[in-house]
This record gives sequence, structure tokens and C-alpha cells, in this order.
Amino acid sequence: MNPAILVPLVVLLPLLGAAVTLVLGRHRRAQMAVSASVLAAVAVISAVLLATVDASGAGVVVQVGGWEPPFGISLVVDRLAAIMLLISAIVLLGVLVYAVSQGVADRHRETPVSIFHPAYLILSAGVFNAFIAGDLFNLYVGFEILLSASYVLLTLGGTGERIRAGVTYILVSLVSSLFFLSAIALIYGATGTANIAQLSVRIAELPDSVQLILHLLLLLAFGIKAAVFPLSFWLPDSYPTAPAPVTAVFAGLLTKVGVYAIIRTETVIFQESDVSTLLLVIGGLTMLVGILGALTQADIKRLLSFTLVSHIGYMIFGIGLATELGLAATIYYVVHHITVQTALFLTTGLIERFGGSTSINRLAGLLKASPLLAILFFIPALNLGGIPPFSGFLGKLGLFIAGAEGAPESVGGPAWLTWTVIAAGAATSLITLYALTRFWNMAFWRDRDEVEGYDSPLLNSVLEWEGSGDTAVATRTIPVPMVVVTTALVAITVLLTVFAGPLFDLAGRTAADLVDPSVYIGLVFPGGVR
Amino acid sequence: MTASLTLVVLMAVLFGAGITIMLERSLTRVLIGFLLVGNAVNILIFLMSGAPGLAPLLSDDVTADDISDPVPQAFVLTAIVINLGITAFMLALIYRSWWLARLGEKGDLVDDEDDLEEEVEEAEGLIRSSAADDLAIQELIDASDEEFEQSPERPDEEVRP
Amino acid sequence: MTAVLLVSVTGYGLVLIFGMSGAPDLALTQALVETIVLVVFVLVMRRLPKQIATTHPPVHRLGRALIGALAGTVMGVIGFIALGARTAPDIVDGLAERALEAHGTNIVNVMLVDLRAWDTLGEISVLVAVATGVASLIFVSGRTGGAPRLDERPDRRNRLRPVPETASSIGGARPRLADVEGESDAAAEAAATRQTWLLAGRTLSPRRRSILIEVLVRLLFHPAIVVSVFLLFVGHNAPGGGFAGGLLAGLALVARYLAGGRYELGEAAPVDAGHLLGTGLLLAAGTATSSLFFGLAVFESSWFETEVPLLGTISIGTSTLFDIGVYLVVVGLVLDILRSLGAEVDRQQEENELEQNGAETEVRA
Repeated sequence: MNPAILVPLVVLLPLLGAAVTLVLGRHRRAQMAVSASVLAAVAVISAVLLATVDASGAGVVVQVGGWEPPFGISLVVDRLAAIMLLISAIVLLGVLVYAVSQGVADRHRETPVSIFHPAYLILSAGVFNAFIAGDLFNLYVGFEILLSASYVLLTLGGTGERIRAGVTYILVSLVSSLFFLSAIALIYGATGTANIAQLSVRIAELPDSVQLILHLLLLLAFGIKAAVFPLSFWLPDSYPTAPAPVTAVFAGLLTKVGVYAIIRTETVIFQESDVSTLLLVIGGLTMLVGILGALTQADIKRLLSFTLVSHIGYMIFGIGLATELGLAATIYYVVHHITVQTALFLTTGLIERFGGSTSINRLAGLLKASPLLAILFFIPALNLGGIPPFSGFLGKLGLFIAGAEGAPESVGGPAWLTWTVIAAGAATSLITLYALTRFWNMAFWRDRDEVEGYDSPLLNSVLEWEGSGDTAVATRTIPVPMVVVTTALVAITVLLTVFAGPLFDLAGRTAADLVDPSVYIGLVFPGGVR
Repeated sequence: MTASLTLVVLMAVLFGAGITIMLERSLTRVLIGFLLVGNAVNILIFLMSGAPGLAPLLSDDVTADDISDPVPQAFVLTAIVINLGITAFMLALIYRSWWLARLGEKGDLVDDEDDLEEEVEEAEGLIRSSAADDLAIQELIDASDEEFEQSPERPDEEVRP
Repeated sequence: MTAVLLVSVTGYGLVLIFGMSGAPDLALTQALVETIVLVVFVLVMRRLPKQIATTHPPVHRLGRALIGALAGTVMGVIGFIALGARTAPDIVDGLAERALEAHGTNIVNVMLVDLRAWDTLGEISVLVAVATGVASLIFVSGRTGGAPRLDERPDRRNRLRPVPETASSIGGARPRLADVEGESDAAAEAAATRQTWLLAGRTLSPRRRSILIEVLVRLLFHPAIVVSVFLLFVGHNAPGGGFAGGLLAGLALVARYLAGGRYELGEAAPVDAGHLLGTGLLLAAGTATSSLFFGLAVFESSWFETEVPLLGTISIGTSTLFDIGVYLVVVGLVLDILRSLGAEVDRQQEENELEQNGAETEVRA
């Protein structure tokens, strides 16, 4: 089959799905079937695309409407885009199943599913569109799609808490969108095009100072979306209030779309303009400030939000290195982080259901009550903290090696700076581990009697069950699909470790494409740019 | 290419005024600011077509040399419509938050009693556990105000029949 | 409120600018959008207490003004620099060629529905998303659902409706085919009298029925819809297109609602906003997908030409179908906004006033 047919489908299918779920109204089963099959189809398509693209070594480009660039819009799937498509489709599908089974279980809650499904599918379409956009303005549209859908999902149910959190999030997103749009306007003004491949050529022809201004403006817009310090203040205030699955998909994916955009900006759009030093500094600060914030948190959702911010720093560091190895490690790290962070948030959702709280001070004795839950939390926690041999460790190690290799040649900045950021990265890793194990100790290990006045009806009932010698009761009180999905995601994080070798090779090939912008340009303009 | 100075100044003024208003606390003001900045950005995009020409409608008299650059116009059209959508959503949000705030004020007590009780319980629990767990005292101080706010957040309690 | 009007003034200023500098499509759309924004803004603001804007006294006025001035200046300067740095030519020539190839002479519209249709598809999905969001925020009417109501119908109590049902569903299954005009008159009258009755206890000035406005709106409604459809179809060659058409149709609905209240809205558009949005998106995305089946690139258009009396030769292409999808989504969005921010908000307020009145009488007793 011609892979070019598949490319637009990754966006069209979710949109068609959204339309169908809207028309279906309140037939929840049918909606669920549509959403799940659409996302599963996209996952399959992405896998096929990744296989094709990786095998042929050349990306797939679709000119929408058959109009050649720069007149029409190009959709570009190279290795990076294909990897991102695949991992997001998997995560989105998993979270969907989780969310729906949670909604089904909380029947009395009247979850407005018929708002949820269209919004969720449109969100997916936006994410996918952002990954395949070969046109800067289309990237903006992709961002707007996913943002507007995310506003809806974040304020789902319209409770006071969520509205307040939603307001922060929406304001920040609006500002970032306005900056992005202004940047597009100025870039178009300076170059006369919005096609990313053509921009790559034309921006390089501009005076250095103009390049720098435009570059910084674009980074500002993406930095807010990726929650990079000092533009990350909003994230811990807004993400934790959403329903657990929504938080999971936001935390896992949405910030990574920003990171993806930064990768494209650095490698293709502004191939000559160099802000590596800035990125290194920002990367280091993002790690440290984020993780220090996490230390003071007693609520696990907030704690995880802070670690999320902090770990974005690693990716910025890798991008800042601007070496092939640095980018390869970044790509591996992005994939690792999407799955681990999502898995952790989903587990937190289980903990919340099971233990009745997300606060470190209100949880205890969960290990006894549900060993499965303990494992589901423990593995990704260690992984995130960077314990060997997990993927978190491998990703960080890769980044550090890339930094150490680059440091003597002062790529991306003075050597001492690179070493400082590496040290910050190591410290961040340790502190992450500390913060998460502290939570684990309190919530799982600590005996229930240590917390006076502890009360969780669910937990009590489970502990009563325990008398009968049956310990695996977790699945009895929590809908099975929720546990299955969480387990599957945790399993994927483990697979990332097991297949680290081939995956690192793939990331390496991807990075090789990225460091040479002419690969991307050649894809879109096979005959050269006029 | 050069931009029309009047339009640049107009854009800058709108942009500045919009940002100023957006920085205020009231959500309504923020929305008004957003509309202003949105308009400013639209002018900015439009400016980037360079020297204005005739409308991009082709006919026997009008050829490609006479008309304005249509690309920014297409961008602006898209942006206008997206702004319309966002504005509508923000208005719904403003209404909703006002509605919630008003409910809080007037305090439909019947509905909130359970929540109140729970908060009290939560508070007691916190105090006791702080006595029990000396190590966590500092964290508790940091956390307690969040706890109070977040205690009734369990989603299944929000919408009640 | 003055601030809102001020924003509108700048918005209409933009209309002038666009109109005078060779962008009729922009002027048209901006004018329509600005009007809808103004109306919706007023719809919401009339419900909020006056002090909502004043309860937050402005703080750090100077600081904010400085930041604002700085941002404005920086943007202006960068804008100047960026445009000054431009050496590359624009692509107007190529676009003009391709527009003719795409059977259209209005380049902007051709870009929207053909050359850059992918953007437009994204844009209408934004609209669909916000429409569901508006409905989700307003129709979760919180804790007042159980209150006794006068115009009670069981289906209205179901608060977490997926998408707002038409207000006409309040009236139950009534035959609409018969004499629509006469019937909607009767319905409006019933509604209006009922409303006046409901509103009688209000301290606000009671809404007066204006026969003149009602007649005017009724007379203009159908021509407006016809014009909006006309705009939709001429878009390819003249200013107009799906957006402008949809917005105009939306405005016609707005007028009906303003004149006759929420029951009138239901009569004017007896369709489910969710279905409208869904169908529109389905049509637009379906058009895009369909070309894949014919071995064409996604969104690649095909045309057939026909002779239509009065209009002469027109070429209907898949891009026209796409534009119809856009039209439907825009109408759906406006309808959804009116349903939620207009009708449902009215309902909640009335309900609330009833409750309050009840409470007061109880207290007195």
C-alpha cells in the first residue's frame, strides 16, 4: 500500500471519529467503540509508517490537495514524526480505555462522556497534526486544535477547582498562542513563506540579528507549551486538578508536543542560528527548580507535576547539545518519559480510587492491601528516578555521555557549563528518586496504624478481605480495564528497557536525519528549493 | 518591503493596551485584553503582506501583479475564526465561574453540609497525623493549606443529584 | 461594558482597514465575527452583576502599563525589522495560476477550501471542540437542577446532556411541517407572555415585546438565510464562502433569539447543534478522505460543471462540499453558543429567581 495514503489518515480518522461520536449523541457504547477503534487504527498506521520510513530511510511526504509546496500544505512523516505518532497513539488509546472504564464504574457521576469522546478525539487529531505538520502555520493550527480540546477536557464537569485551574492553563496557553502567531507573522514577513523546509533555507539567508529575534520569539511560544523554566509556573497549578486520565495524557503528551516543536525549531527551521548556550542554561534550571519544587509537595499529583517539569529539562539539555548523540538520547528520553509519566499518573489515579486520597499524609498500608498497585507504582518510580537498568537510567546516561563527549569541544557552550548541567542532571535524578521513594514509603510501606484517624472505606473492606487469605483484591474493587491498561503501560516502560539497544539505534538514525536539515528539505522539495 | 507606519503604530498600541488589560486579575478584563491582542496580531499578520494592492479577486482587469498577497489574508481568516471560538469558550468559563462563586456566596447549605463535615474531618486528621509524624511537620505546614483547598476535590462528590 | 464596546470599536476599525487595503473577505468575516462576539458578550454580561469587573481593583497599574507599552513597542519594532529584512518574493503569481486551476477567482477562498484546506479542517475542529466545551460548561447546571420549575418537562431536568437539545424539544413533539410561520408566531407569543409572566417578579426592568422588531426580524430572517447560502456558493469567485455564509446564518439566528427569546430560537432552528456540528465535520473530513479512495491526494478536488438557471454556469467541486461542511459547523457553533450562553443561561437565571422568591416568601412566612 502506498504509505502516502496513510499519512493524512492519522488526522482524518480521529476527526471523522469525533464527528461520528457527536452525531451518535449519547450512545456511549457505540462512542466508545468508535473512539477506541479509531485510535487503534491510528496506532497501527503509525507503526506501519514507522516501519516503512525506517526501512526506506526516507520520509513520506504528502502534498495536501496535490498542490506542490509552498502553495499547498505539506505533511511530513520522517522517523521522528513516526516515532512520536506511534508512542502518542499507544498512550492515547490506553488512557482512553482507562478513562472510559473509570467513567463506567463511576456511574452515579454522570460523566459527560459524549463531550468527552469528541473532545478527546479532537485532542488526538491535534496532537497527530502537530507531529506531521510541514508548515509552520499548520503547526499553529495543530496546536490550537489540541489546546482547545484540552480546555474542554480540563474543565470537564465544571467544578470550582477545575475552573480555577482551567483559567490558569487557558490564560497561559492563550499567551503562548498569541506569541506563536505573532512569530509566524513576523517569520512570514521576513521570508514570504510558512513552509518549514523552505523556511530552513530562507531564514538562513536573513541577517543574524533578525534570525536571533525570530528564533527567540518562537522558542518563547514553544517554551511555554513545553513548560520550560521560567515558563513552567503554570503547570503544577493546572494539571493535577483534572480527572486522573486527563492529567495523565496532558502530562505525558502535551508538553512533549512542545518539546517536539522545539526539536524541529532547532534542527530545521533555524539551522544556522545557535542558541545552544541558552538552552543548556534553561535545561539545567528547569531540572533543578522543578525538582526542588517537588520536594515540598505532599500531594502525589502535584509532586508528579513538578517532576514532569523538571524532567523536561533533560530534553532541553539534549537539544541544547545539538550533537547527533545528544539528539538521539533526547528522542529516546522523550519516548521513555511519555510512557513513564503517563503510567505514573494512571497509577496515581488507581491509588486515589483505592486509598481515597492522593496526599502523602493520608495514605498508608497500601502495600499490604494491594501488592499489585505497589509494583505498578514502584517500577515507573524507579524508572523515572533513573535507577539502572531502567530506560530512565539509559536515557539519562545517554544524555550525560553526549554532554561529556561534547564538552571538550565546547559544542553548545563552554565546557564548564555542560559539566554543570550534567551535575544538575545527576542531582535531579537523585532527588526525584528520593521524592518518589519517600512517597512510596509513606503510602505503601508505612503501617496503617501509624496514621491516626485514617479512613478509607475501600481500603478497609479490602483489609477485611485479607483475613480470608485473598490478597489480590485490588482488581475486585477497581474496574479491571483500568488495572490492565496501567499494567500494560508499565510493561511498555519495561520493554523500553529490554529493547533499549534497537531503540537507541533507531533514535540514532533519527538523530542523524535531524542534524542534517537538508534531509528534511530534500523530502519536501525533491527538486531543490527555489 | 516596508510596512505602513500607521498600521504598525496602531498594531503596537493595540498590542500594548491588550497586554496591559490582560495582566489584570478579572477574567472579563483578561478576555477583553485577549480580544485586543488578537486584533493586534491579526493586523500584524496582515501587515506582512507588504504594500496593499487590489483585492485578490481575479478578473480580466485584475492580474496577479496588482493584488495584495493573499497568504496572510488566509492566515488572518483562520485566526479570526479561532479567536471567535476561544472567546465563546472564555465567556462560558466566565459565566460558569461566576455561577459557582455565587453559589458559594449564597451557600446552598443543604448541598454543602457533607463537604463541610468532610473538611472538618480532614482537618482533624491532619492535626492528629502531624502529632504522630514529627518528621513530617514541616511538610504539613506547607501542605495543609493545599489540603484544605483540595479536600473536596474527589470528582465523584462534585456533581450530586 | 464600555470596555466591551471599545473592543468592538477596534474590531470594526479592523473591518475598515481590511476593507480599504484589498481584503474584502477579511472585512466581511471580521464584521460578522465582531457582531457575534459583541452580542454574545452582552448576552453573558447582562447576567453578571455589574461589580464583577470592579471588584478587582486594578493593582500595579503602572507596572502593567509599562509591560504593555514595552510589549507593544517591541512587537512594532520587530515587525518593522522583519518586513525590512524580506528579500524573497511572494508567491502571488503562482497562487493566481493555481486558483484558476482550482476553478476559482477569489484567491483567498480558494486557499481556504483548496490550497490550504488542511488548515481550515483544523480550524473547524477547533470550533467543534469549543462548541462542545461551551455546552459542557453551561449545561452542567450544578446544584439547582432539582428546583421546581414552571415550564417543567422531564427531559429538561437531565442536566448532563451531551449536547444541548433544541429548545423546541421543550414543546414536545410538535409537527413543524404545517404552517411554520404561523406556528412560530404563536409559539413566540406564548413564550413571550409566559416570559413576561415569569419576569414579572424581577427587579430589573421587564423585557418588553416590540412588535416592530419581531416583524422586522421575521421579515429579514429568511432573506438572510438565502443570502448566507448565496455567500456560501459564490465564495469561490467573490467575497464570501463557508465562514461568511455560516456566520451570517448564525447572525440571523441571533436576531431571532434576541427578538423572541429562547423558544423562538428552537423554532428557528429545530435541529440539534451537536448533530449540525457532527454532520459538518463529517462532511468536511469526509470530503478530504474521499479523494483518497479515488487514488488522488488527500483533499485533491474534482469538479463538474452544470448550467443552473439564474446563476449561469457553475462548477461544483469537492471543495464546495467542503465549504458546505464549514458552513454547517459555523452555524452549529453559533447555535450552540446561543443555546448555551443565551437560552440555557436564561433558564438557569429564571429558575434561580424562582428559587430565591420562594425562599424569601418562606422566610417571611
